[in-house]
Amino acid sequence: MKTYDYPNSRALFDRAAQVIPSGIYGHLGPAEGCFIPVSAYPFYIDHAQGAYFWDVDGNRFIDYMCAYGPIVLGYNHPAVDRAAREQLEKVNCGVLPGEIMVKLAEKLVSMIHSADWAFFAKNGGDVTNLAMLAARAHTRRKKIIKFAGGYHGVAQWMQFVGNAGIIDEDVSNIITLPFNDAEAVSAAFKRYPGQIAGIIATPYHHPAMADNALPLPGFWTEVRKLCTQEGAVLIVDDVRAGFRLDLHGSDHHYGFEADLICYCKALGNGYNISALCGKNTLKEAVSSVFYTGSYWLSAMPMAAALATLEELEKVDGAKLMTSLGKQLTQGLEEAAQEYGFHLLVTGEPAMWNMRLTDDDSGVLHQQWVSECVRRGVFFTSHHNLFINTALTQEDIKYTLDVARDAFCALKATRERSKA
Amino acid sequence: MTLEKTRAAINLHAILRNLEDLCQLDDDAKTLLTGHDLSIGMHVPGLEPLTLAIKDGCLRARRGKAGGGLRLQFLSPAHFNGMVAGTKMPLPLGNLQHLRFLQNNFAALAKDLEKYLKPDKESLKDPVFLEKNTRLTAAAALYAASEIAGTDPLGQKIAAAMGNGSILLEVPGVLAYTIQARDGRLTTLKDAQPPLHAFMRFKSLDILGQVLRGEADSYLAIGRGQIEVSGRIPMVDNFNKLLGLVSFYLA
Ligand SMILES: Cc1ncc(COP(=O)(O)O)c(C=O)c1O
Repeated sequence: MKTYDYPNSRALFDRAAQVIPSGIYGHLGPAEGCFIPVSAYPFYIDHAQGAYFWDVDGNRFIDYMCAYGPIVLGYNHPAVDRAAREQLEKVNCGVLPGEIMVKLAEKLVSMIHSADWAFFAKNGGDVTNLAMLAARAHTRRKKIIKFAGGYHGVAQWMQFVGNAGIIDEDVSNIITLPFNDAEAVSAAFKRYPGQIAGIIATPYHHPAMADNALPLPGFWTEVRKLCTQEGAVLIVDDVRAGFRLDLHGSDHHYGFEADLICYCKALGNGYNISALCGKNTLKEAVSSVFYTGSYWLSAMPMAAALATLEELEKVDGAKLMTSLGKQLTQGLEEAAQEYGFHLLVTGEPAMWNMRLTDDDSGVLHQQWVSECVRRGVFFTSHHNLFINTALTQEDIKYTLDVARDAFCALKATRERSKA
Repeated sequence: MTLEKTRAAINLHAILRNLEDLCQLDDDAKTLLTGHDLSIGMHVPGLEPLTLAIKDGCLRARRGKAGGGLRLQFLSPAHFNGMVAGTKMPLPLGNLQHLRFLQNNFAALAKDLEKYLKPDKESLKDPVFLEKNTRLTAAAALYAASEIAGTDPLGQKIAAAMGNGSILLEVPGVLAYTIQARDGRLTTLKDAQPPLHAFMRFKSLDILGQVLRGEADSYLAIGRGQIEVSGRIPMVDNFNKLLGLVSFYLA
């Protein structure tokens, strides 16, 4: 199979290096630890369509990162883009909100089981932060429980001491516990009686750089019970998993009810919008929080989000992605086995995590993933991957061919290094 | 914020330890040692002692104390840091016949080391000097990182998050160090010491030098493929946070 080179990406990066901190910052940047080795990866996108994107060197990739989640229906989805364009022609960022805001909130309330209302912002971190503020406002308590490895955004309280710019005081009211450990949650409530405002957690454990874990039977029931009993707010961060597991909410998927639930990523199929939804008991607390942003009430992303939700319902998106994910991951596991490797798949099929277990440093996995990327299948090594509904049977077959070819290359390298 | 105790640990186990490397790299240093056979133990309250064993123009630096020889006792980390800064005198005990060596040769050796660790711009234009500067700066920084992990409260937190395992930092074929992490304690070792779990490979000694001297942006260097990172990324990330603290201590 032909492998890719990226001269135009590199030339662009050199220009960027002059005028942009780290060239490309944040999660799309090569220094963030997901591009290993960096040389295997394109840096800049030129255009995209459906399940594919093309880089600035003209290489085509099947995109299994889906822009790290947002692309749920495939790039440039016609119904979503049409709705956005039509709204844009009327008004986008206006001096008043439009009817579309009410329509979108009505839609979310009708779809999401634990939603009585919806509040809109731009990024996932806007609404996870709002959820924390609302929990504190509602309870007049300081402390927040979160789970080790859970990612909720970049506000100071979500970060770690040791990260640049973060000080002890930023996280002094954050209690970090192991996911799936209801006893630890119970112990924390006992240790800090009347002090815990809320718990924030992803619906299942999908940390970067580690195997993913589904909730153990009884975990959520117990946590829900403890929150109710202790008067603490249960916040589900569905920013990443939202609409990929269950169109009614990932809490619904696992059989419990959140008090507050955070959406972003898949909500707008790439248009910039996030939402906090929640129970009536917390509506006033949210109203009381001083919180807004220049673009938060813009109409175009709302129109796109409404169209995205309608389309997801039409194609039964979560079910479809789960079944595509199952098929793909099964194929990948089999391909690994054929070449004498073991691929461990964890998490949910629509956004699975995978790791070759044949060495404990991760180097082998990084090499295999990089060989896939060089052949047009865009994976990253240490973050869960994403399915979108535009993925076809042909794409899956192509992906499995690439995976085999990459395993073959990996095996050859391994044998050479042993010799 | 830097701590006196961490500064002392770095001065002892990263900077003075570096005399070992200096004597391998620098003929002037070798000359200062030739004909001398002695050991000097540096004792700072609260820190593991450092023993410098000098023989045949060579110096070996070892953690821990050795019997006999000259013992330099310091009253506190601040006292020791004062000696390194040239403002305080140690209390010599034990075999005092080597005092002259201490006052003359050792002082000259320390000056020689400082020439490389705090270079002027002009000297860096000489490629031979530049190489020695890079090697010694790398050793100082990598040993200092382990001392920060052991004594600085923020460093301790970062080290605790690293998990157990070993990082190889290398310029392939040119220079290699292993940083072993175990239960929140770090040990810097020369050369590759398998098993290794994470890797930081610098494309050249020059890139390593530029990053250490703060002339090159390490984020850009990763993007440009001048530094290749692989294996257990969280270990490397945390180690880089420690290296970030080193610059505050070595500044
Ligand atoms: C679970 C989860 N919560 C919150 C966020 C933060 O979202 P954003 O980057 O849009 O602020 C993310 C982003 O990856 C996420 O995955």
